[in-house]
Amino acid sequence: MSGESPDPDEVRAVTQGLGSDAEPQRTLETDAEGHGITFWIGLAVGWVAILIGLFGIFDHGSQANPFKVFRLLIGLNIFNDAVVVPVVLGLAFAVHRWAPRWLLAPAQVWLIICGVVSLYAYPLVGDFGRKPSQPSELPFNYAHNLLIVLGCITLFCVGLAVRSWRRQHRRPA
Amino acid sequence: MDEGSTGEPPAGLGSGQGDPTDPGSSAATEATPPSPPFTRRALSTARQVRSRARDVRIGLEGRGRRMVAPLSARAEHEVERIRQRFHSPLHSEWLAAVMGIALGVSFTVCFLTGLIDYLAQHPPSWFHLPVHPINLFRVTEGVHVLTGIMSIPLLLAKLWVVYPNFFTYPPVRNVAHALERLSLVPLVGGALFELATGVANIAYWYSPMPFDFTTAHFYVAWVTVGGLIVHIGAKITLTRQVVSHRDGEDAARRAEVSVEGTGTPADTFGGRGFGNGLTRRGFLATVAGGAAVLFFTVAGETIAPLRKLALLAPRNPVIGPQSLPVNRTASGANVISDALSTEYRLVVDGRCKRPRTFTLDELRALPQREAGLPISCVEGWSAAAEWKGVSLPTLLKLVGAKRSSQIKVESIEDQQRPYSNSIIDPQHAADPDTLLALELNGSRLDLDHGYPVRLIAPDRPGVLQTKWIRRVVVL
Repeated sequence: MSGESPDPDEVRAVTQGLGSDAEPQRTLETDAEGHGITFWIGLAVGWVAILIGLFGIFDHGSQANPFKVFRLLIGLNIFNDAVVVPVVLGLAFAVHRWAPRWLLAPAQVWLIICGVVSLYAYPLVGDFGRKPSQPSELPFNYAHNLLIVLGCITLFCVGLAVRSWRRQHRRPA
Repeated sequence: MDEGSTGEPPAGLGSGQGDPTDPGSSAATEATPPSPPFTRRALSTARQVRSRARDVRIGLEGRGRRMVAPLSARAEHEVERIRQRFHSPLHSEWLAAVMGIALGVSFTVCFLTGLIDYLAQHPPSWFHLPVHPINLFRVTEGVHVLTGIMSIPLLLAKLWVVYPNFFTYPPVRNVAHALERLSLVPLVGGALFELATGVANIAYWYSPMPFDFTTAHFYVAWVTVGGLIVHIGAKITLTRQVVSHRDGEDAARRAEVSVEGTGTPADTFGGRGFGNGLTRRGFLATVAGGAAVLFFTVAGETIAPLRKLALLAPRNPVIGPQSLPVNRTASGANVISDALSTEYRLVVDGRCKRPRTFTLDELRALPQREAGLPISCVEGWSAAAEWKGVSLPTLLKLVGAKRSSQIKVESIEDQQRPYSNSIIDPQHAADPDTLLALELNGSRLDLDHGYPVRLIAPDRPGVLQTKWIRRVVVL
């Protein structure tokens, strides 16, 4: 048992922090406490811009509908943190768990690019904005076109997978 | 980045072979004997050392530590445990910094071009787009929309990379930190809002937006860019350190290779490295690839040579009546009967010496001018076309108006409807290429393109190129 190679992820996670425990690991969070002049200028200018935006939204309340704008803004924030990222993490875990190693990187590339393209294309494929009286808007069959694009991405990733497989099987024993 | 934080394993646990993966030597991994693989025992020891060191640091050592430790220390311990679950090297400072820079650039470009476009569409008294170059608005609007679309993979990837930072303890350390963290709400929420509503807008999908898109999109952009400025101010020093410190990245890459312990090139996309999925460079390349796919499948709606690749573009610049897209149709504007009426007259009045009306035949009898001008829509598509009609300065001279006059053109449409009229600033009014167009691409204007008369001027948003004109007012 002791001679068996453990999961490389686990090894990396454990070893990455070694040697750094004597002092707290520097992260993007902790270093922000430098609070130099740049920080305070950014804070002041940034909040001025935020307040300009907030004032504009309330000042144009009849058009901007502040309640619904903020509901969507906060809702998207929560949706990303509570749904999108956990789903992506779950998917990544599943791929990592079950895909053979030579297929892992190509599968990740395929999932990321196809996911992003599909997300963008969703309103087009759904035809939510199509008006029969306006043929020059949304003029394509987007479901068909999306399949073509995803097919091209898949072909590219198959090429990556073949290259990856050949590399792995060329390794010395 | 100091060595201690880069994951260099101690002797016996990592490569233990000096520096077999020195990036300066591509053959190093092959020349050096492979490191011994990890054993379960070594891994267990390392895990215990690390766990104990962490407990010592936060004061949780000793028996019954959960019972006696202060609440804050226990909370920190739990949060730290959650953070440790994010094993992937893709949740790294270097990647977060690089993606932050890319996103900062793309959002800044998007904001500035969007600002120009908003001012062009809703011009205050102090702002006028110049008449030349005639494609300026076309470029800024195209850049705005394409940059926004290409920011989608960047933003989602960045949010994923920094997701472990969501779990920090204490959540707020002081007032400045509270303000900085508070600014993440407008930054993240605003960025998602901008991209989501922008995509919905170009797809003409308005039901998820129970507000005026233009107004909300514009002011939320200020909120977002404000959050971005705060974030840049807070992170710029660290970002510079992380990105410029080659040692940090190289050491992290060494760790990725050495833990595998084989010393052979890995089967990853993105160069050699840890053969267990994407490296950080591979991840960056993948995100860039996603942005590139979106660019090439959309940009053809405004960049003519890419038209055949534009499979996911909401418009094709040659599909529409007279091979030109239309935004508002005559039936949608409810102008068909008035536009086709034999009683149609163009009225030119206001501050001029000889106000008069013109029949369509009289307009056709006036000197005609041809101009190649683009229609550039605020939704990001644009197309060049050949227009022919009466030059506005010619018409103004005919009615005795000053050359430097400001002009208002009114459509047949109900004047209460948005964009049923528009103001032409003096520079545009004096330009000979500003036309009251009667023909498009060599034939009479199609009804959907504004028959009998429409405005077409250089470097103006399409929404201000008023169609179905019935009145020209000299202001």
